[in-house]
Amino acid sequence: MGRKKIVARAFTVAFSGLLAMVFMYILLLLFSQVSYLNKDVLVSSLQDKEVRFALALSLESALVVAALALLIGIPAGYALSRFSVPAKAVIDTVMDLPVVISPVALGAMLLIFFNTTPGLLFQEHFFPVVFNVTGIIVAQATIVVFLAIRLMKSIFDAIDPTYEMAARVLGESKAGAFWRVTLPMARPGIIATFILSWARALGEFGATVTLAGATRMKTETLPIAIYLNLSSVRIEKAVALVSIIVLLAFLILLALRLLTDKGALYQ
Amino acid sequence: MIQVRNLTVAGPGFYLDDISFSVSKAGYLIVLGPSGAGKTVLLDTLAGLKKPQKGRILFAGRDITYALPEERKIGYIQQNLALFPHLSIMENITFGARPNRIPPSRARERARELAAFLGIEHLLSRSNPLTLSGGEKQRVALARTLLVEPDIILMDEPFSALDSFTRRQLIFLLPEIFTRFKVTVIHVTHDLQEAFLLGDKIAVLIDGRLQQIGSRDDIYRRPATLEVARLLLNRNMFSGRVDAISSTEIIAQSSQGLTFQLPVIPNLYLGDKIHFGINPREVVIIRHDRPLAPRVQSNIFPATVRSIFDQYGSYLLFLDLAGTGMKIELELPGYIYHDMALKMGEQVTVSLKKDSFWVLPANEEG
Repeated sequence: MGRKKIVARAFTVAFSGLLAMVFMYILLLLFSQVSYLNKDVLVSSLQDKEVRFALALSLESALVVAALALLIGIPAGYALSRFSVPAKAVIDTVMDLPVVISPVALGAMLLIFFNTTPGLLFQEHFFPVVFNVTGIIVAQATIVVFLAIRLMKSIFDAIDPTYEMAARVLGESKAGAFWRVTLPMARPGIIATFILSWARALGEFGATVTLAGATRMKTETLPIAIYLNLSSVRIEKAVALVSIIVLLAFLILLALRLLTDKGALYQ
Repeated sequence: MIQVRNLTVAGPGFYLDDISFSVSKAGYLIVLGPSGAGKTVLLDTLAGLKKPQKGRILFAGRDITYALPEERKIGYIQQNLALFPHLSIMENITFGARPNRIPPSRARERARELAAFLGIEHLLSRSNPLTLSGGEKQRVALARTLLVEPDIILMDEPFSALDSFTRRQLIFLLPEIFTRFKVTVIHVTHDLQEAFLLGDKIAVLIDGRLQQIGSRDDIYRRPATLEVARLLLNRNMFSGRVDAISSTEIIAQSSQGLTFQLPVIPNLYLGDKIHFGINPREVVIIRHDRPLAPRVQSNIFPATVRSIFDQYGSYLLFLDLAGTGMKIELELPGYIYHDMALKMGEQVTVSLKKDSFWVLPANEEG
C-alpha cells in the first residue's frame, strides 16, 4: 500500500512538474524581452508611422480575411457536415492541406499559380495580386478559409440534426430550418471561428511574404514588420512589435475563452 | 387515413422489410417492439426524413411517399423532443406559425389556448427550454406540434425519459388531447403497459418486420409468431407434437412427455410439430377449499413452489412441475397471494387453462 501511494505521488509530481516547467518557459520568453523594452520605446514605437501602418494593415486585412472565412466557411462546413459527399475521406483530406502544409510552400504555390495563364488572366481582369496588398488577403484567405471550413464542420457536426428535422416537420424548408434553427444554435461556434480565423490571419507570415512580398509601408503586416526590422537590426522596434502581437494574442485568446465558456453549451 | 403498403427501407444499420398497415382517421396505432426493431426508422420514413427503397405511403388518399417533410402536414414528436434551445417556450410553441402562414397574433393566442389545455400556461414566460422538467418539455413539444394542426401525429417513445408519476399523468392526458383535436396517432413504444393502455390497434415490429397487427386481445391471446409471444412475456413455452384433434380441442404431447389439452387452430394435422404457451397471468393455483370451475378443469399438474418475487402489486412464482423438471412461471395478484399464504417448497396444484393457451405450428419459427 505504501509503495503504491509513493508511485501515485511520483506520477502526479512528474507530470505537474513538467507542466510547471513549460509554463515557466513561456514566462521566461516573455520576460527576456523586457531588457529591450521600456516606456519610451513603447510610446515612440506606437507613434512611429511604420508601426502604425503595420498594425492597421494587419488588423484590416485579418478582418477582411476572417469575414471571408465565415462567408465561405459556414455554407461549405455545413455541406461537408450534413450532405453525403462522394469520396468524403479524400475531399476532407484535400480540404485540410492548405492548413497543414508549410505556409511558405503554399505561398510558393500561389506565386506560381498567379504566373500561369489563368492566374495572369485573373490579375488582368480583376485585381493584381503578386507583390500587392491584395496578395496579403489572398495568401491569408487561402489558409484561413479552409481552417474555417474545418472548424464550422465540427461545429455543425455537434448540432444534433433532429433539431432541423423538427423544424422541417413543423413546415420549414431546408433553408428555413438552417436559418431559424441551425445557424442560431451555431452562434457561439461562429463567433469562435471568426476570432480564431482573425488570429490565424493576423499571425500569418510565410504565405504572405512569399506572395505579397515584404515591401516597407506597402505590404508590411505586423509579422513582416518584425522580420524587416530584425533583418536591419532595429531590435527595439522589433521588440515593440512583438509586444503588440503578444498583447493582441492574449486579448484574442481571453475573449475566445470568455465567449465559449458562456455559450457553446447547446447540447 | 394512413395507408402504408409494402414499405421497405434500408440503410447502414437499419432495415424495414415489406411493412404494410393502415390506420383509420382519429385512430390510435401503437407500434410495439424491442429496441433496435426499426421503430424510429418507420416514423422517420413516414415523416419524410428517410427515403424508402420500395412501397407507398398514402395520407388521406394522397401519395406522399416522396414528398418533402414540410409538405406532409404531419406532426412528429421525436424521442429527444428537439425543443429549440435558442428559443423561448413561446417561440418554441409558435415556431410552426411562420411556414404555415398563421399570423403571429393568432399563433400566440392559439399557443395560450393550447398551453391552458395542456396545463403549461405558467411556462409561457420562461425563456430557456433546457430548464424545464421532462414532463413539461413533453407538453411543450405537444403544444408546438398541435399549433400547426396536423392530421397525423407520430410519437417516438414519448414517455421513455419520464418518471413513473409524470408518465402516468401524460398517459391519461394523451387520449383526451388526441380525441379533442381529432388527430390520427402512430405511437412507438417498447413498453407493454403503454401499448395496452393506449393502442386501439397494436402493431408488433421485431427485427424490421411487422409480425402482427391487431387488437389488444388478438396480440395477447393469439400471438402470430413466437417472437410476439416472447415479447408479450409468455415465458411458459413448450414444444411438442399433435396427438389427437377433435372439434373442440387438440391433445398434444410435450417434448418432456406431458399431455396437454389445447385450443383448436386451423390447418393443423395429426403428428404436426407445434409450439404452445401460456402467459404467467393465466396460470391458476387450485385452492383445495374451493370447487373447480369447469373451465379450469384441464391441464392440471402438481407442482412445487421454488421461488417467490414481489414485483409491486403482484407476485411472481416459479414452480417445478412434479416429476418433469419443467419450470412454470406464474403471476398472482397480491391479495390472492397473501390470502393463500404460499411458502417456498410448498406443494400446490396448478391448472393451465386450455383456452388460455396459444398454439403455433413449429415451422412458424423465425
